[in-house]
Amino acid sequence: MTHALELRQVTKRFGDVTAVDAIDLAVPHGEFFSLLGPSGCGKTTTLRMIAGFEEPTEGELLLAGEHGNTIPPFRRNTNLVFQSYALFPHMSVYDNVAFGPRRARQPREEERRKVMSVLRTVRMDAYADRLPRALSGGQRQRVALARALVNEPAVLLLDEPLGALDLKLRKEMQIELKHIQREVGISFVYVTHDQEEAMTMSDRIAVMNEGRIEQVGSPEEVYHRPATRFVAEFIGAANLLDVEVIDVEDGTPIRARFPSGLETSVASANRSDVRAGAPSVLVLRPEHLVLHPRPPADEPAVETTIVETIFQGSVVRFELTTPDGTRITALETTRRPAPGRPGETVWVTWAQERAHVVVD
Amino acid sequence: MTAAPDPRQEDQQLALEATYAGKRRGASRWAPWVYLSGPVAILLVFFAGPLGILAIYSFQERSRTGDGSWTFDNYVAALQPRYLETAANTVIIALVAMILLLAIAYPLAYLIAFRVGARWEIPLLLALALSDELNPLIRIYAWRTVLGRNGLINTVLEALGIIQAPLDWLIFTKFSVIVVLTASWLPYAVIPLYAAMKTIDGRVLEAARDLGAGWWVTFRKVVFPLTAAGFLATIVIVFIPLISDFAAPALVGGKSGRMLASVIEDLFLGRGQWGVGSALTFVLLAASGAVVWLSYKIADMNSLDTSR
Amino acid sequence: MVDSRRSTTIRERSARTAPGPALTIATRRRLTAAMQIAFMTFVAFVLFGPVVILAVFSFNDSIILGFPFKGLTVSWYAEAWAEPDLWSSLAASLKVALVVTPLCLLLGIASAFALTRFRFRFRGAAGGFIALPLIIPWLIIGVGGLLFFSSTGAQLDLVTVGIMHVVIAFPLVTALLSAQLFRLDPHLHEAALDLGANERTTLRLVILPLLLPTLAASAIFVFSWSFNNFIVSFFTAGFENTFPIWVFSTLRRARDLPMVNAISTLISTAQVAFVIVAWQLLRRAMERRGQDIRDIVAG
Repeated sequence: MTHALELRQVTKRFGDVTAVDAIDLAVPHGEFFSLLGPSGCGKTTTLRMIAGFEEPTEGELLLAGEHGNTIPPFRRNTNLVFQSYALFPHMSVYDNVAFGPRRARQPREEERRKVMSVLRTVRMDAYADRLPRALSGGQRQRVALARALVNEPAVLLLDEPLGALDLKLRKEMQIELKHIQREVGISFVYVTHDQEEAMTMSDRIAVMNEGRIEQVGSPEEVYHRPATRFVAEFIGAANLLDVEVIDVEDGTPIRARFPSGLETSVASANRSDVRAGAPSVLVLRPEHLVLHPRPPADEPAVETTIVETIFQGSVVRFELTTPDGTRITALETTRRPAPGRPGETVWVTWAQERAHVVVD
Repeated sequence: MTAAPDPRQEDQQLALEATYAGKRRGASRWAPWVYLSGPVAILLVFFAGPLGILAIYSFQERSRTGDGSWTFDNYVAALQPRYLETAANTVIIALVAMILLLAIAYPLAYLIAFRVGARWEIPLLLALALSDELNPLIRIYAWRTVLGRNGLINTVLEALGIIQAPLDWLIFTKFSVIVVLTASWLPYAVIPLYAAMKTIDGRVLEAARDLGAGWWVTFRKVVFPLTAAGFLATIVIVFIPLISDFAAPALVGGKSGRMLASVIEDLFLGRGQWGVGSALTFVLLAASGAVVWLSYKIADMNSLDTSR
Repeated sequence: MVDSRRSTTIRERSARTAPGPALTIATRRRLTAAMQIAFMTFVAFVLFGPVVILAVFSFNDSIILGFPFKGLTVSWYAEAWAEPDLWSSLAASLKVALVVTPLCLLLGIASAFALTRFRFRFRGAAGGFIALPLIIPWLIIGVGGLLFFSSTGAQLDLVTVGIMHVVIAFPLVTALLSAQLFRLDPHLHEAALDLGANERTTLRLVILPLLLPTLAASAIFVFSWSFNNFIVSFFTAGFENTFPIWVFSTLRRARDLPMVNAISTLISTAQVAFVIVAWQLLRRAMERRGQDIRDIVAG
């Protein structure tokens, strides 16, 4: 089966700068795929290569299985939703959306049917005669989406399309975008630096850093089983504790040792990387930590001092520090009696099956 | 890469590549010159050509035909006292007119940009543009109705009994040339200043006032530094036509309002001394260049000063 | 009413017992407003007063340009009407301006596009070279043109005038258009390509419509620069007369001056009407496009 989009060892250099470094990607039909990373990680360049605005320096770009490196943007079966929306200011909403169908020389009735149908999908059919400047930011965003969707592209590309909206509207639009994507069944490639946005909407996420892809996986995978330290830090909040892996035999849990000599077993890891003796990092999510006022007898526990407790409604956040100065964050539900106050010593344990180790 | 030999197709491809990939292939480097060849060729032939010939004439022995040997005589002739006197006259007139222009245009631009409100802003700009659409010769000549012996000013002053005989320095003097030049070039002074002011965020002024700055401090520390570039642009835009103006001294200048342009015209069309005329033209160009350069220097020093 | 308001302010101030300036805020504000209005009136007079008075005198039954007003007549208009040189010079100026304007637009569009849409070596140099005619005095360009055409043996006539008008005017179009092109969101161009329009269609459907108001404003400027230009035409017209040359030589001979008053009034009225109509059309077009007219001025 061919993928809607495939990148093979694609590299893009601007002079001496390598913006995208030999990345491999495959997006199946109908998938909501996100390119996630900090600014300057190469995600927008990747998107622009897919759209046809940049040509890969090396590697191959396949659109629906066909070589697409040099197809100009106006002949590609991809459409892009710009961060600035780039609505044509001199055209009405209808004319903006009808721009694509008219280039494809579709009959008038066909054009009208499609435009109105897609405007209904984004709930903008009542505004067909308005000019873009008479619309709010959220409405412009919907029109920009409709203008791209109406062409029924094989892949819809979105470049931080929600970046200009306020938080509340952004949350609403995230749900709506996901809903629309399911409805139309088109592959979405969504570029964002907002990990929460990527988690909310995506089927799969590619986490990018410095022109490379660090990990590709479902939101659950990248959250619970990050492939690298960068992914663990970038996706959600994470406590990263230095450990030394001491035993990686197949069939048994990995054994790891803290600098303090404390040993623990780890359920999850990217086994191919992890080697005995390699400096590694134990990834523990704050919500998986349990605080004890006294050292528990039956499981390994890290001794810490409470620095700060912060009430956050449904949870309390504890800022902790170990004797060697490592900072740890823990979230506890507010229902339990507080395990301690600032300055007091608490012991941290975690659900063993949630612990994850990556090579540092 | 493009199999089709269709030149239109190729052109589009070139444009695309040049726009989005920078200079990737050798051919795309020439794409901008496809557009630029016409404009640049026209300027090379009909702008650089004339200036070049002017330069050659200024260094050649014989006038009119210009086929003599190389010489500096034309420049020596151009720098003789009677021309220098006119040159000094020209610089004084142009400088005074420029100072007047800035004194009127600066507050005017400020009022239009910040004070008059949206309703009047555009009509006022239009009025400025409109005055520039009128024929400049007619505008100059029309000042005779105000400054002339029987003009508005003399008539009103006589009617009020302030003067007995018409003032004779109102017209055909330096004064009238300065007045007319100021009126003629006002739009060109206001527009760049207005553009510079428009880039100032109105809230900055409010902030300055909120911090207790009086209008003078607000002006000196906020408005002027932020419009210094526009101020400089205005000097460049306005001073060059002022110093080389021909019509105003010719129509309302008389003897005392004579400027270099009239001398140059006389040398070329009256006496046929093309060599000296060309040399004097370059003296004029040098003078305007010097003032522009000087104003850059002064503005540079000023911008350092305001940071204190 | 004024007094009562002032006393209120004074009472307010004394209640606060703060020492203040001698003038109350309200009075100072009114004074500032009055000064602003006086200043604006002065500027309006400087710009238009003389031309308006000239129009009045064009109906004065006297050959002297000045007071007193001797009586109404339209005889100067009749005289102007019967002056063949005047009409042929007007026709010449119109002809030149009508040819020069589209040429300047073409050259301006081509150069502005090249300078804003490509990055290439010598871009700065090319831009500077094209801007040069805007800062070299017209007198020098005119004199240079005279020498250039004479030494190449070309006949000085309306063609040479037109060529020199193109040289001085198209860089203005380049400047105005470049400023507008820089302001356009570059993504508009990409969006059109992305939606299936090739370069040519993008130009036709997106870029040019958005540039249209600037193009129209440029056309008006170029037309009036050419139509009104005196000094460059004066040196390069040979024995031909453009309208400004006719006005100048008539004024210099100091004969038929009342006729000049009449024709000046007619031409100025036509120019005002032209600008106002063009303005209205331009404003309406820009409103439809959601652009601000002030942008063109500010650019």
